[in-house]
Amino acid sequence: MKVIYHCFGSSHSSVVAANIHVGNLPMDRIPTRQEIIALPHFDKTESKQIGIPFFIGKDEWNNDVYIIGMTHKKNIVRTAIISLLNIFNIAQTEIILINALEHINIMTKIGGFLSRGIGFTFIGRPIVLYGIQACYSNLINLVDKTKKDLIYNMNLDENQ
Amino acid sequence: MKIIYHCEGDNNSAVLMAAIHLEKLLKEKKPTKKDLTEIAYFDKNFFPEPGKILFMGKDLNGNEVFVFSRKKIGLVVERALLGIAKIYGLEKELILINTDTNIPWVVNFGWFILRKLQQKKIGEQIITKGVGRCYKRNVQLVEKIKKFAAAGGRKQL
Repeated sequence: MKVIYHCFGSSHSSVVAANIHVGNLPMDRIPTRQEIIALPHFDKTESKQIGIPFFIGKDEWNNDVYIIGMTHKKNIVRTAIISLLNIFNIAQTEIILINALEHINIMTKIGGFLSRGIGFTFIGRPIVLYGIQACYSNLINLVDKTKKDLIYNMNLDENQ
Repeated sequence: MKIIYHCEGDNNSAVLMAAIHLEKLLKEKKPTKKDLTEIAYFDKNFFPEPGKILFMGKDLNGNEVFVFSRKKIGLVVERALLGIAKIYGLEKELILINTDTNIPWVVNFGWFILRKLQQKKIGEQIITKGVGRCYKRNVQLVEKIKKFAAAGGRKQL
């Protein structure tokens, strides 16, 4: 199964959520700034890379975890991805798409726009880091809920 | 091989290209208004849900032809679909073609009259004129795509 976290530009919220999912970031405390900056793809995705799925790692049940950017038209991209699976006869349950963007605060969005949108990394990055630390518990809750859903789905498969 | 034509959804250019590909329109002759009505090109609501990929038919080489509309985020959708196909090792089975650039401004102007000003007769006439202008070029492009599909490669056009 593939778990795909998506946000606007696949550089902040989805990176952090996916790394919490695979265990690169802690679930019991707020990580330091250095830990967050050291993540691959964090605050690095160029605008011409938006849309490419990036592989982040494997979780404890051997699911592949990816991140993807969908700009502000996430409904269209999601519909297109699900349609593509349909035409290749891949079961829809093979992919789980999770929106990480709605679980972060306005500060991260502003910082992300400054850093990625118009290229002021030196102002944007500290704001993003502060914002991510402030809303870290939301992202933990999101990953927690996703994992519970995964366990529920796997139990269903076993019972069938 | 799956060949997917995609457009913004405002001018149905993907529908036109798919019809040329499936040989519903004659190659040598420019299409008339009646021909275009028959392939449902003037259907204002051809793409009820942006992003949903619709099956159009199979061509003579056994390739399946699809169309979909995706508003103004063509590159993002292309990268996402190719990336997802790559995850499953299917990227060689997929050709994505952006059809927005193959249409002259006259067609877009005609669609504006048809859609926004609700003038069916004038709009359809202007669109037919515009399609005639770019028809030869589009037929050549489809030929190229067919050759490319027969060679079994992957490329965005």
